[in-house]
Amino acid sequence: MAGFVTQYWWGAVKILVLAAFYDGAGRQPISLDQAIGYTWLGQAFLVMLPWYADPDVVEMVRSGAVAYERLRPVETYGYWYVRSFAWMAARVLPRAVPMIVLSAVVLPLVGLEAWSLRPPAGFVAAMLFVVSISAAALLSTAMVQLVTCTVVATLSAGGANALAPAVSNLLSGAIVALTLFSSGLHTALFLQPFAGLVDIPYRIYLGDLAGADAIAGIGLQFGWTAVLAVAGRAYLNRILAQLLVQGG
Amino acid sequence: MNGIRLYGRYAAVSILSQMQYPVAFVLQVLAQFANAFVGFIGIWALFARFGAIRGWQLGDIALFYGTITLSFTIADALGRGFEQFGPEFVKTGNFDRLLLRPRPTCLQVAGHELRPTAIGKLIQGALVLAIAFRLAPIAWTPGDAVLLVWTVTGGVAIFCSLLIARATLAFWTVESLEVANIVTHGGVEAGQYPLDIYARWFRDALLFVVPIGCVGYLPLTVILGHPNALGAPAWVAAACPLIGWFFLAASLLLWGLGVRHYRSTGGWGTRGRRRARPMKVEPDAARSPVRAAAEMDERVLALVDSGGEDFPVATDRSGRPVQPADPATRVSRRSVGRAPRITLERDGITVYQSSSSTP
Repeated sequence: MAGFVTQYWWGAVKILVLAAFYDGAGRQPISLDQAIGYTWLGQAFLVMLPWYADPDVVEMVRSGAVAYERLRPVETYGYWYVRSFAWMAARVLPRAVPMIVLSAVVLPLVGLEAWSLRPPAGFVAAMLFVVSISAAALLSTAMVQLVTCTVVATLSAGGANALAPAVSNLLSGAIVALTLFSSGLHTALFLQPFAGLVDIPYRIYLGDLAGADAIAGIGLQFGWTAVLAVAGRAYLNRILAQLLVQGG
Repeated sequence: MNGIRLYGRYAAVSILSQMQYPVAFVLQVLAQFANAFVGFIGIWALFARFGAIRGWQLGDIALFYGTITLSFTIADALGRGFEQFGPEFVKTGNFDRLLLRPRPTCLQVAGHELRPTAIGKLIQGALVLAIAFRLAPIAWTPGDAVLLVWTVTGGVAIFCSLLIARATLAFWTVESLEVANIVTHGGVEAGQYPLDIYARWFRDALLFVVPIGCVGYLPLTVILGHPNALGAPAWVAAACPLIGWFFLAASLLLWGLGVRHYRSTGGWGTRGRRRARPMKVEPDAARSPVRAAAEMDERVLALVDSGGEDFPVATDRSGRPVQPADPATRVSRRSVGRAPRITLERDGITVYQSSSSTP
């Protein structure tokens, strides 16, 4: 609850700053209304970013319980992937739903419509957004798996775990919408894997990414998910083959 | 003086203990730096697109941003103990131990933990300030340098006072109040920009309610040679960081009030928090040990007579209890002087004997 209030307030401050930037500025890649929507969506789905390795797996590796995991007759990568996905969904949904209700329904009701999250750009955009945000969750989980792998390999929560938030925040668009970076960088930013976490689904929602571009974005999300999952699986199997179990 | 030396010892121990794992330490510093720095890259990106924010340039923003980051980070590193105060000291009852020691409690809490990893964020703040020195059109004078340091110290004071005030609330709420973060973190976030970019109500809140603007915006406009939104003369704006010290003094007074209110949570089980009281001593029992012993005897006899699992009672046909109820239980009564005296034996072992002292 407290975290929620803080998150909401942060969103509000970010929007006030953005409004000051837009004031008197010429035409921009996305309008102020869209930037506000982008910010609220960002606050709603904030915890979906791949910030940390799965804490349960890290604890298992630390305590040596990972040995039991190797005994289960299931494919370890798939199993860990699914449990990370569940862990993420359980954290995202209770935050996202009230945040969207508050910013899209309550704000207009109290007369602050100019600052609210507008409805999706259209029915097609809404449907594509649902697909794309799910793809973002799958992609984020694949990234969490990679971070988890490095933690398993090094037995330390430093390293990738420490740097994941900075990299994913910046390159996904969670700090500043990727479209607001200078135009020369747009193609490169669109193609890199982190765009699929934030930028692609939000722009589909706002109607900034539509038609063939939207399809291409979703394609990129699934493509990166597949690449990262295959790489993560190979990496995990290599690590597990030479894993020393602690304890005894 | 003694207190300052003690604090130095606390600090040294805390830093040494966290440096035990040097690699982890360096990584944490690096992570802190990176996490903070991407925030500034975001601001840079916005300036690359928009050019200016209500007339302010990137160099100006870097000065506001760097100053507020430095003061907040220093306060956060110093006041870590206050941040964890609710769950670590009040909820656990550990605050009792601090009260036993003949040193000020806030000194002990402040010394509880220092965060040397804050260096990462300090470096970031300093780097952003360096960018400001390079980009902002400031004709530096010694007075400006003093004013900058004065602003940062005022900022440290005000953020420390907010941490202490929040910790003080834990005396009443026990839990830590994360909602208070909207004041501190939200204030830092907003104070990274000159306050005149915001709507009036928000600007005024940050100047008069939680005066973050007094340790950032107002004095820094003097350095930048920029008129401030309030139209206050330069010497007033330069004196503003003093308010931070007033806040610190007020928060320490509040802390004293909280300490006086403190009731330990320890020793009363888990059914919520109760005020610790000395155990109630029944007044007449305290007055007459003989009578207390007699009452105890009565209670034991009632227990024996009542039956139940411990003392099964045999009944006759009409359902009346038959004494002795349980062949294994033997109650012998005799009177010593005026006081009755009973002995309760089960299986030949004495399990109770009147403690009445012979009058």
